[in-house]
Amino acid sequence: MASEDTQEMVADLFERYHAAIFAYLYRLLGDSESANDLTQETFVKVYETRNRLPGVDNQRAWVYRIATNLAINANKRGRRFRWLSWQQGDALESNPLDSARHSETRLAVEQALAALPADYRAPLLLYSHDGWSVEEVAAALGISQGAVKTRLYRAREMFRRAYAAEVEP
Amino acid sequence: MMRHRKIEELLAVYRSLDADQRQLVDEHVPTCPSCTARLAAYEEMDRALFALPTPAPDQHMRSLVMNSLAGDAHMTPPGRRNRQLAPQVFPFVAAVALVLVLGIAALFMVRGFVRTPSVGPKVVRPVLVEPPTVGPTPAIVQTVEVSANVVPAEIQAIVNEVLQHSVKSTALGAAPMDVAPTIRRFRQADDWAVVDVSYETVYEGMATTNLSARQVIALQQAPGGVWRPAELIYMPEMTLRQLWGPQKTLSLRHLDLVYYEFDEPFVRSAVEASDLDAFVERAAGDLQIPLEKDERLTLRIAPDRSALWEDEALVQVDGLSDLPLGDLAPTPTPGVFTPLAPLPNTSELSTVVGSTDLDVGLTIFSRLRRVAFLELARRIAGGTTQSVDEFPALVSQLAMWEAGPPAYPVGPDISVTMLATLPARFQELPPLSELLAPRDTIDDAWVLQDMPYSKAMIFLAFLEETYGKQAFGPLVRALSSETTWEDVVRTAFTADPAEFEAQVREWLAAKVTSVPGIVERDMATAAALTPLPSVTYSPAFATQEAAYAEVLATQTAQALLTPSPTATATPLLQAPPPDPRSLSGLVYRTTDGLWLVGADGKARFLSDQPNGALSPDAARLVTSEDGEIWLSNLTTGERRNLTEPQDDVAIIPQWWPARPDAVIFGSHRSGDYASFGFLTAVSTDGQGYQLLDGQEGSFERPALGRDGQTIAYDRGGKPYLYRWGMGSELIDVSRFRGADLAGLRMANPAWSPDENKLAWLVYGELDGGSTMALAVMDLARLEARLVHPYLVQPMGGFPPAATWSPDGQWVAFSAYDQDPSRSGVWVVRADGSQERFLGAGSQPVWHPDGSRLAFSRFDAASGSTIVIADAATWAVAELAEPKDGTVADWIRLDQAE
Repeated sequence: MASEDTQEMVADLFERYHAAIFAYLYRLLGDSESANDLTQETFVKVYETRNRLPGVDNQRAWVYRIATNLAINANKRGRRFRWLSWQQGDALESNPLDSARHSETRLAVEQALAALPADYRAPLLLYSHDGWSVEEVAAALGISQGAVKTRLYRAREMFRRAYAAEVEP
Repeated sequence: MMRHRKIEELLAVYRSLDADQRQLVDEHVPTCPSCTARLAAYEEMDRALFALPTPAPDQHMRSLVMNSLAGDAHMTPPGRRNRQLAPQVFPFVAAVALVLVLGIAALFMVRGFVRTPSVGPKVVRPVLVEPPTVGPTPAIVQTVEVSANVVPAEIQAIVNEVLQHSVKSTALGAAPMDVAPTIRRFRQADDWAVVDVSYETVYEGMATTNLSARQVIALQQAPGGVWRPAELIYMPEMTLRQLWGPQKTLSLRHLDLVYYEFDEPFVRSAVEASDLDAFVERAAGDLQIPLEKDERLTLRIAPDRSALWEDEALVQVDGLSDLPLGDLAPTPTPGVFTPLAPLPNTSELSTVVGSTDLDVGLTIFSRLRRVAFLELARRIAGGTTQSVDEFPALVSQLAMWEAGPPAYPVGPDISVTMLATLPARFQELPPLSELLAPRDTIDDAWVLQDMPYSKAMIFLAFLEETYGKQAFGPLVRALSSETTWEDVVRTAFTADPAEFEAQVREWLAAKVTSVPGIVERDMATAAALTPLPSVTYSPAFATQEAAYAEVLATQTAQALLTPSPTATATPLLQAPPPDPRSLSGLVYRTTDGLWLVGADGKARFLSDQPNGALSPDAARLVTSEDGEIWLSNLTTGERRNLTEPQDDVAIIPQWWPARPDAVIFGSHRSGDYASFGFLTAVSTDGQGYQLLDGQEGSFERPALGRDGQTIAYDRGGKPYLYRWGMGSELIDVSRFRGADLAGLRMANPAWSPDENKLAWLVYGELDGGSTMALAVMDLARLEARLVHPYLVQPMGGFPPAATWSPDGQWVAFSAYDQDPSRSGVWVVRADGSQERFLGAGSQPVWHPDGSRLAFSRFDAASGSTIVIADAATWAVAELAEPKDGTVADWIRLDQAE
């Protein structure tokens, strides 16, 4: 595979997925600054390892896998504090009424999501927010499909509890 | 029980079950209340998670990564990339460029005052805070009118920019905010000034956040007359309240963004000493401490130069040893750039942001980093200009660095001067026991109440003067290894803690005592040089408040001091309140629901559902609720779910006036990321659900043609036309003369009334540093024109679609401009020949006869108001009623009745 072709692939992957990767990382990390940084790092890593691209079955899952690992590592290295998080999403709201209407529910959803460990948040995001299949989630996280199902079950239970706690403190 | 648990797990992936599993579950669930509830909860969970908004990445992400990877200064889509660089040079150039561009971009971002550098002519700029040569004019956030007479406009602008930056960095770049600053004190000498300002703002994020702060900003003036913020911006007071819950940890790092200016002279002196290698070596020696601060501010160069990590941008580039330095540097000397020793990652400098050790570490680090980047940059610049020109950011940065030191003296010790002007509790260092406290004893409350940053700077100044800069290394090292401040002092300075503290205080006292003399001298000069009508200055601090109160007491000052909430770059004409009857046909929303203004000027309640789209005859409403499209007959109250049999999540329904039986909306079915979704249609009877384009989703809304046949829309940001029954076709932008739209993302089209033209919103790297514009495409003449380019707010996504005046002459739209004084509603002539700013607001709609425009203006304090603009004069009037209304539409009542 000529190197221009793999570069082409990297550019193409960036085009297609960088916004989604950012959104995903934002949900995993809780702040846009880190998410922006790790989005960049994700694609730099994609670029560095581009020679392996032609052999990758599911390139989207592969990109997500890099991003997930970076995020989980970043979390493990210890985010010692979280700054004001979850605010950026509202910049997207153009209608203040929508914002007012939904902010309470959404806040609870986001807080519940944030309460989940990254290992559980990642599969739930991919499966429920992004609508991925179990197979693809498994490929993106580098774990078996059985493990994805177990994690999804646990993640959903954790989410339920956290959500209930948010709604009825 | 085993089986029950197994089924519970299956419920978690219900939609992915195979036939057997699904049968198992479907048989069990109806018999088991707990599983029924669980399944319902999981489905609700999926809907809630799906509905979370999609934040947008940094708008420069694309150019940063793409430029670097492609070695191209412009954003180009795959397949159109510039291949001028020889393949063997490419990997190297890309690698170095990536580091430089990202690193420099990071520097630019943290500087706060410097925007993305211009791509225009290379101008040598010795002063870092000059506005960019191209691009939007510097932001005058809000005219602080007290300064119209008292504070020079230029200073005002800087102050406003600083404030806006502070607020934005605190608010994490949320929507534009109105900062209403009150200048408490202003002092100006011949070449420096101090502004003491307080402000309060409320912004709507996830929570309503109230930020009030007082900030002291020092400015210096270069002989050329350009003002810039001086080394110290001091924020003695700040409170941040979020109305929905307990206060979150506030990161000083956000505020720190504005502090990065101060180390320029130091870097410059290191550069001029032309002993970079020795400097870096020494610094590395000093810094035998882990530089892993916050894990985001790390520069590591491997000893064998095989890798360089610049973790601020979280970039890691291996293979630097492959750099063919010989190709770039005229006289490459192996080993000249003494690498930093690998820095062990054994400790963290900062666990509580805002602690002193972070500040010290940051200081040293930022200096070191600049030196290292300068050296790298020079190595590229020393070689072929071809490669440098690929990177305007680098060229511009180099120009600044190489321009030499400013030709003016640094001036009085402004940090200490300022301390002397502040209340007593700020005049002293906090006890060193606090300043050097173990990080886990410093809590947010302390940080917020008594910002230690400036004091840390004072402490650094003491160290530098007394021990020299080499003392920083041992200090940082000691801070990371010792647990008590006494031990820090003993280890770092081999001094007795009590004596050491006494020494610091004595030093500071001497500084503070010398200040009044300096100030009196400078104020005398200022009085002679600066025309200051209607204000009496007193250089004596004791009488300053009284003098200020006197000024305040005058009527003129009162008037001047009242910030005008609508002040903008363009003077706005205010119109008298319009006759309510002239509003007939206006459709607006309030929290109660949807309203229509009748011919008598009275509003009629249409529906308790405020969102959704009203049919042109005002008889029906389509809404998206829980991912389903509902049609409501407003007369009978009958409601029908149009998308019930479908699994897809359906959002953003629109009427297609030319096809009264069709509703167009976006549907989501897979993980493909597009905020609108797939272009989809359904009949008003719920039949004929039809995916019009199943290839890829759209970012934004489609524009539905009056011919009832054609839909303009974006497919993943590319312009497409869908023709009913015939399918989709890419609009080939390369066939259009005029503006080059290649590689730009396009969305939110709007048809001109004659349907010959489409106004798209385009996003990308435009000439002059802009990132967003209208692209008016003339489909008949194959001409394209970019209108009103501007620098769009990061994280804002695409603004709503533009809207054409009924005569096709004007286009009205909302601009999410980074310059708040230009952010709001604009009208432009379709040929770009004229434009007019109508003030803050969004989502304009035209009256059907084109005589007026209505739009919504949102203000955190007063909520939403409706603004009416007269299309003859462009004078605007805010409506007193309805309170908290937002404009939805303006329809022809004769069709409605």
